[in-house]
Amino acid sequence: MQVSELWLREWVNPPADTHGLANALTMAGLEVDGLTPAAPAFSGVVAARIIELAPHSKAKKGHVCEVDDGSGQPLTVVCTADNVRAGLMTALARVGAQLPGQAGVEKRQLHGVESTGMLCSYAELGLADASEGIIELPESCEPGEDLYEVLELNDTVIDIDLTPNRSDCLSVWGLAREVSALLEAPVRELSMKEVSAETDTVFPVSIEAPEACARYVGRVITGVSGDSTSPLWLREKLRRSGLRSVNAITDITNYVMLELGQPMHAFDLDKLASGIEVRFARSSESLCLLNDQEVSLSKDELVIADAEGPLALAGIMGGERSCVGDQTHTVFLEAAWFHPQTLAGKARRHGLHTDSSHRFERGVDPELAAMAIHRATGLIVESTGGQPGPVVIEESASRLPQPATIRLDVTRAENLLGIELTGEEIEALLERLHCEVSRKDNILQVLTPAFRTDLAIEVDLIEEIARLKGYENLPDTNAGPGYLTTKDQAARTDPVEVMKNALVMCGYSEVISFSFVSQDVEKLFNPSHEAKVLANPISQDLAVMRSSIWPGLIQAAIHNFNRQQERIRFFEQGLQFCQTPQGLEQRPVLSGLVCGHCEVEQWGVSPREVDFYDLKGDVEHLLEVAGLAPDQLRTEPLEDAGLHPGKAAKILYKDEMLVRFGALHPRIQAALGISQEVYLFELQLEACSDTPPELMFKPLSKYPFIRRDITLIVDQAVQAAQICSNIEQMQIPCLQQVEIFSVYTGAGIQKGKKSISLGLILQEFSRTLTDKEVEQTITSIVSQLEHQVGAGIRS
Amino acid sequence: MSADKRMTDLESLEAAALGRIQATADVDALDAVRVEFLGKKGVLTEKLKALGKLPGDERPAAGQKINRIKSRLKQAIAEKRSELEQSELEQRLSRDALDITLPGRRQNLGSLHPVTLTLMRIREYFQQFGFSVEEGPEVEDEFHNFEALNIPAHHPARAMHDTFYFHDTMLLRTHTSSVQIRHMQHQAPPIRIIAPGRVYRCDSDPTHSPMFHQVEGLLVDEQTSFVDLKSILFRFLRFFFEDEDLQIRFRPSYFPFTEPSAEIDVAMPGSESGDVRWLEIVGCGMVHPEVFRQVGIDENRYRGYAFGMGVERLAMLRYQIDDLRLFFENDLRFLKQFT
Repeated sequence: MQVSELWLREWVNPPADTHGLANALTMAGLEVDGLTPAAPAFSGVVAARIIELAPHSKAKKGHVCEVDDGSGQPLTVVCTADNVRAGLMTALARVGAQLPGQAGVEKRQLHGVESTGMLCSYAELGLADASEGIIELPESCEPGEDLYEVLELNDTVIDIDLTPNRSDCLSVWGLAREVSALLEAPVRELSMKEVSAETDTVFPVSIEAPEACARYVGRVITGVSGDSTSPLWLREKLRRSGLRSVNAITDITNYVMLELGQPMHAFDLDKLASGIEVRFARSSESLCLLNDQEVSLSKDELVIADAEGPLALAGIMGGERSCVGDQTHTVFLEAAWFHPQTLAGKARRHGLHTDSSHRFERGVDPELAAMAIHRATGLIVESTGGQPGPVVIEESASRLPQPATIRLDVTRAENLLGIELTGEEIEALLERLHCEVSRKDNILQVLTPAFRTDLAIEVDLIEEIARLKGYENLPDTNAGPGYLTTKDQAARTDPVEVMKNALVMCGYSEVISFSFVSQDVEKLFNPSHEAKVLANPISQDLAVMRSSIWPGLIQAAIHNFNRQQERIRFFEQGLQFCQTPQGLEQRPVLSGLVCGHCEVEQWGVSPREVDFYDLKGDVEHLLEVAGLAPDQLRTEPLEDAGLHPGKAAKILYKDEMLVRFGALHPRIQAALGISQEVYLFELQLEACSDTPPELMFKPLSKYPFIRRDITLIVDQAVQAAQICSNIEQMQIPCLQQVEIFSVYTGAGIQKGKKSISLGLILQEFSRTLTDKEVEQTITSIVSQLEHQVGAGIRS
Repeated sequence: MSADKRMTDLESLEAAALGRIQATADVDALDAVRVEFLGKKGVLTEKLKALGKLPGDERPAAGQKINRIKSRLKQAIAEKRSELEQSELEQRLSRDALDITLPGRRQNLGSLHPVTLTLMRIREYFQQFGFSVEEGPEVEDEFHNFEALNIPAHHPARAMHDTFYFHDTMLLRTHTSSVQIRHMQHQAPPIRIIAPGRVYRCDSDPTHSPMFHQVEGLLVDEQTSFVDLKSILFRFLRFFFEDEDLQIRFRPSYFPFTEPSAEIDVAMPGSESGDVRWLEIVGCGMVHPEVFRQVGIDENRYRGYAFGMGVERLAMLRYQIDDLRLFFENDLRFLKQFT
């Protein structure tokens, strides 16, 4: 809502200055978004009358004008505007005038004639984007009068961001009432004269959808001149409210909407085929709107129609067929009350948002319709002539919203707000809002005014009390009620936070990528998954819900590759969205990406590219931090569309997938144009909320441990886990630990074989092991491995 | 040889020995000198052994003299040894000295996202008052995101939410307020929760991201008030910005699911006292009776307050980040500033 401060002050004029007024509105919930001058700064422009003029002998279209600027000395000014004519009162920029965005006005030779000044258009003064011809001022101006005075340009446009509940403030009158209540200044008496009928001409209106249109006020005005322009003061008010001037009749209906809050429409009666019907659209009906947009209508859309079909989209926009224009002689004015729910979302459906639909969707005071008709009639007759007919009201009174009587309990208000109040105080506050209050002890009966359609229940009134007392005046230092004391914290810190901190220690940076990705990238990673598709995405790059965080991590990596970063360690926590036969699952995961050198570049460390085992180490580290029971974990090979088949693994926890990790599939790497190997992991977080096994002390052995190293020669295909589990199955009590400390292929090892060196750590709890026992144990392990995995021993 | 001559010989022997001791350059040489004079076959040992060959009356004096020389040499050797050891240690220390200005070898620290750091700070504050952390789905239904929050289908506030829809009736939650509803459906009062998370609006320009973060807060109890709400949020903001004189504005607003409703603005850094620029960071209010009805909580017995904060906005103010887009570009040069 954009309103001229001067216009508002015509209605209510509190002692506050502009900023004070704006602050009062903001602090009452009518947030002022901006204060802008009503006109750009200019100077030296005055009203001036063209006394006489003659065509310029050399310049085409040019006229040489004798102009009276009130100085007593007529000036000669050259002008090329179409509307220049003798007797016209217009705007003169005198020599030395400063115009917005232009150099100062100077005396100029124009094709041999000296022009002392310049006649101005609205556009030249920055008052319009474009204009035809020079300004035409009313006869009542005095030559020499400063244009700032003539147009009252020392004004500020107040831009208010109104919340949807305050439709009553979508008019100057409504705002004035609010300002009056806030700053306790009187609001101007509304002196809307009823304009009585001068003819008997009426036009039939039938409401066929009374549930959607409970009141329709209409009036015929015959003998109007459609080509009239509206008065300058009115056009200036429209301009400051952000509306363009069209013609007198349209301008006036707009003006009345801005002034009183009642959206109106004017039909050219000669273009109507029959009486007006207010009804829902029929299937396959369509309508060409005033903005030349052709819309097909649905059965839930309310229209104003005649026998030939829809004339207007009720409460939203008129149609092209019946619009008023220069040729209009008879006009039919409409001021109706449409149900907010009928109009909700209908304008948006056609990509429209009009001043009218904005108001009707939020609720219009039903009492305004007749008042608006009279106000508009008076202004139209004044500007365009014409004879009004009688006001016709069609209504279904019982379907109109009724002012509510609300019971208000002072104690409840005190409890909810947390302040002390008295009945008298509340009564006085609510009366400022035009409520009628009757009070018995602590109970108030409050009759709300019709224009406050937002006041329906007790808490609505409690909010009004707080608002009028001023939110800023409420205390802000409550120590908090007694129960707001520290509660015993759960013993365990958030495991996700612990894991995130562990990753930070390992050099990972946390990223946040969008939860939606492009369909193409999603398909690369998860070709068999039907991703959840947005109906209205921002762009095709953000069109489907991710079923994995990996695409987002890779995108972030690419962003950084393009900025000379090569060593990247990223992680992200978030949901991934997977369609399953049971429906959509939104799974929390912690995912990571690693690429580039294993260590940061530093002296004394030879650079090495990160590999699968670096990643696996980080994953294991993470699981250790998460405190998941190690005996419930199992690592297995993994087939995954996103990962290199030979460098991918999964870790199961209690037989459920916990982590998948590995190298990005070379196919995807190529498709995304990435030149280096990228490693990825993904950890399901739901499992990590399991309480970790309780820590329990085990006594320490007093006896030394004995370490024996053995080196096995096995086939390449033998996995380390096979060796370890074979040893484990032997359940040797004194075997404390098995350490793999070297894996080797190459010179000295037969092709197709590899050597694996194990460190075996033996220790008894109650005594020192004898050499013989140690030798026996080692021998039995070697023979088990020879037998089970075909291992040979390298001495 | 006369007794005098013998005594003079002994004195010159001592002088020679002391000279040799002083002249040694290292501990090994010193040891050799020691053996030469004091060893089993050393010069002085031999002299002692030869005492018997002296006339009886000379023996005591000569014996004394030799023993005195012996003990003086021992002391001189001990002193020299300690001197030599000290100097050798010093030499070694100086040889071993490093360029301690070379950087240490390490894995560099990573970093937490500023949104996470902000969330942690919010959690830290509210957890001390017994608020627990709750989460909810991001793909939501209309009931939890709108209807139960007193935003029926025809409500103008729906249009203002710029909702992302799916082809069924599901949508991406437009606020974390949906978690309020889910929690109240399953948990009887008293309730104290905060719900951080991602939210989505179909809007993208330099100051709007289609995805951002909110923290919802909800307290439901028999005794609480609008003044409590204002107080806890003002205290939180002063804690969060570590500024007791923080300029805060608490002004009326409108949300269908709270009443009275308010918004809180914080003065932007660098605002002149005459022309303060405010940034809206919290929406809040008392839980609307209709919301209590939707989740089956007795509105006559319980009252509650709810609030929602924009996490990016809090982070922008706290870290003076001037561009919202930086949060989701994931540029390492940005992220590494939060190590």
